[in-house]
Amino acid sequence: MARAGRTSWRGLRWARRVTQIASAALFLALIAATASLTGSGFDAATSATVPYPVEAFLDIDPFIGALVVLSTGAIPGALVFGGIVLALALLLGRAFCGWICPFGAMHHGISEAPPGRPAAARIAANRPRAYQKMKYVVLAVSLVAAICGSAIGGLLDPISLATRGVSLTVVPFVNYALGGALEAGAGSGVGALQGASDALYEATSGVAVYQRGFLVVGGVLVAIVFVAALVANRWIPRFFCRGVCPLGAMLGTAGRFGVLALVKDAEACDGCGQCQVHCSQAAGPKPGEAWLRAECDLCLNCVAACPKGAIRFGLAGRKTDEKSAPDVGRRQVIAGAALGAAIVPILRTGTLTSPIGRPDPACIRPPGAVDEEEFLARCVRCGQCMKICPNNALHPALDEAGIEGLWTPVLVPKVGYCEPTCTLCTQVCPTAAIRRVREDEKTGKNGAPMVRIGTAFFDQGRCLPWAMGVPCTVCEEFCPTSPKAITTRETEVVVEGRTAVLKVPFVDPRLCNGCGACEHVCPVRDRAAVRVTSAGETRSPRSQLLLGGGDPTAGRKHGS
Amino acid sequence: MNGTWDRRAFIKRVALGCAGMGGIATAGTLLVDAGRDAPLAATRSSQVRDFRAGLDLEEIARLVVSAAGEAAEATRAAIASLGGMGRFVRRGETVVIKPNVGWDRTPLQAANTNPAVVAALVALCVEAGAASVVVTDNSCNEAGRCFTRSGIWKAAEGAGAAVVLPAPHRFRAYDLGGVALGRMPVLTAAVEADRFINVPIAKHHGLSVFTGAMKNLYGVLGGRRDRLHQRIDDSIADLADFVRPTLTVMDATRVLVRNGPQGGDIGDTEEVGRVIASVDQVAVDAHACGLVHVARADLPYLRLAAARGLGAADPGRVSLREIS
Repeated sequence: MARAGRTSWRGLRWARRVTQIASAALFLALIAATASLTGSGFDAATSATVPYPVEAFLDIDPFIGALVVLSTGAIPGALVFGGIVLALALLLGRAFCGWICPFGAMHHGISEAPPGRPAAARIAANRPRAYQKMKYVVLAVSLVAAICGSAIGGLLDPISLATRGVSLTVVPFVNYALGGALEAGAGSGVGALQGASDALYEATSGVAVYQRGFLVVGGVLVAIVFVAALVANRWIPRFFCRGVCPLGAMLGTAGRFGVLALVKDAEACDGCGQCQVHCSQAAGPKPGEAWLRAECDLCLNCVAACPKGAIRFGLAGRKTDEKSAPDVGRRQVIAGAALGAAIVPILRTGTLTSPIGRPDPACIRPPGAVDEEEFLARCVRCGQCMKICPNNALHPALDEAGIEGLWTPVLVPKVGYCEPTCTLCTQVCPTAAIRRVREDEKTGKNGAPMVRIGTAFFDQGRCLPWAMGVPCTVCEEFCPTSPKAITTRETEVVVEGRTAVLKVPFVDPRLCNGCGACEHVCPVRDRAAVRVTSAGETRSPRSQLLLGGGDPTAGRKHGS
Repeated sequence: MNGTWDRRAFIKRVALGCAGMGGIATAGTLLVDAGRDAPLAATRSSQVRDFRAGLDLEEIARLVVSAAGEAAEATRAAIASLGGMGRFVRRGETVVIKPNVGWDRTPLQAANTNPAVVAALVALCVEAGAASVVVTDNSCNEAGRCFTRSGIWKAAEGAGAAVVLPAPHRFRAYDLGGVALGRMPVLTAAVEADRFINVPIAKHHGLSVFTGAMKNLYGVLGGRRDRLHQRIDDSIADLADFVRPTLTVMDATRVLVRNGPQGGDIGDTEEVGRVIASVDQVAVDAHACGLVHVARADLPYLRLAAARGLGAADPGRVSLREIS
């Protein structure tokens, strides 16, 4: 009897493992899917469109949904999926953490990976401890900060953190390492190695290796947090899930009146401790101790490991030997809430660049980004926009948007510019911090007002024609607007005492959309002679430059 | 590590360590320094890529301007008028076709070569028995998007060519031996074939005024080509000197008359409906610049190229054949 029960728990545990691995694989596949949007299979006339819901895991995340609802008062369309996950949590608690969450799967895998530790050490590591209360405080801080207008809680959301970590640190790492190896192989001069390297390059191009490279400015800071979260599992299994994760805290709290309970038979238990050795969430599975309903992720390790059949999950009401409410003090939650309420004013009055300060020249947001105040209320820093940008133009901010804006997207023209016909970043934002933009809105065609993300300014002291009398105007060639925002005029310049006539460049701020192509291609490579700043961005009234600048099409003229 | 070292043992170890490090440093210096001076000291001899071997240039020296129907038909008629592709591409030869795939633009915006012209040429090469046909270019915008949005990826592969994107490892340094251009990275796929067919599109260009056949060769280069603009006319002549195509087929079906070389608006284009073909790349440019309303006199690089014996800057000196 006991024997048969144990076998079926083992089967279910395998089902959980398969689900977990499949979920993590799907998560990685969706990140990879942002790459292959070019090729002979695509038509010329159609704009590149993201064919899969690559942000699906973010869409089903109720913590992200809650942040946006609280910070904006608006309900995003995709929230319905998050609502389903939350409703499931009402019945099954943190089953999402144990079965679906791809970041949870990564933690689980690293926790379980060999070499294992002695049973006694594992029991000690899996005993419920005070650090587990921390995640409820993180949740309280995040939700109250959201009410005060900041989605900064996205920094620790597990899906956002994992998306950011894989997209902005693992992908560039693989690109650099594999790309370097393949380039060395292809340039080795050894026939077979050359052919194999080139073929492998072709096969992985755009997914693992990028023709133009893929570097992330400041990515090492993102990597430190991501790697630390993963490595922590070697000391405390699933440390992030147990101690930090605000989504886990939310689902655990929601599952308070769930329908499943761990039913313990203290008579049958011989105290071997196998349930504690394998408990992934430090949830108190052993008969005689309190089962922590809000911690348990239903991984089924304990019931599958019990040699006596002394514990099982069953449809049952609250048990006397359980703790249903989150194991955290009311005062701790209140303190967290107070910190959440304080953190937004602290961050915003402490930095010049914030919705109440002045715009930062380097805070160039993606096209379609909403005004800064709403942007900070929506952006959860997942990095999807940065990953999908085909020109590697978007990067995680350090202080360009103030300390509060850490890891929100900013354009770095030196690395890449905003391709005028591309709308990919606007298609993947899960929280509409970047609203969808059509191609004709970016180019200002078909009567649509042009989306402007900044304005180019010439540094005449560094510009070759202006300062040195040397012909150049690569910026004019690359300027993608029609009519061109950068034009040239034949101008007399004095070089070495003689007068020469050559073309010098000017920018028309009414036509410039701030794409940054000019800055990117400027042959003055260290600090370009033409640079884009956020001045004049359409999203922000406080950034406007010209009288009548609210209508970027004003004063447009055709021809040159 | 038990106990402490006596003085003798300490000195012995330190001496051994120093000797070891010295040995490694010496070996490293020898290995790293070997050949350090070689590349710079190499003689500056131009590595001209001449793709006209075995062609009877006297016999086929003419300029064909074809307005025979749509792009593909006009292309086929132009090549037929030059004596057929078999005259330029022999059975078993490898061919590279170099269209302009510089920009993330659609065909109607006329910033890239018409994909139908490219596809027609690929098909003609395949029919002539080419062993392989490669279509390549070093795009200005992100290459994957340029090849996709220009329609050239699909058209070229559909006609039987292999598309080679400009990956970093696909460049090798060549000595262009020019007046302005010396050692530059060159897209190997673009210059390592038996035959080279240059397939530019006629466009306005802000700095060089007109971009056509010779300027299209810019796309075989990698590296710091943003400095070519400082001596644009010499650079263009140097490129035409370095790559001497088997054949030049210019797409002037729809041309870009302003805001070049990218355009971006169909209003910047004009429909001309012509395909121009010749073995003389200078004559092609000299003829085609008029189609985008640029006078030959405004193009110093035509004179520079003609002075080097690369072709005729005055198309009146080449027999012109018009087909309609």
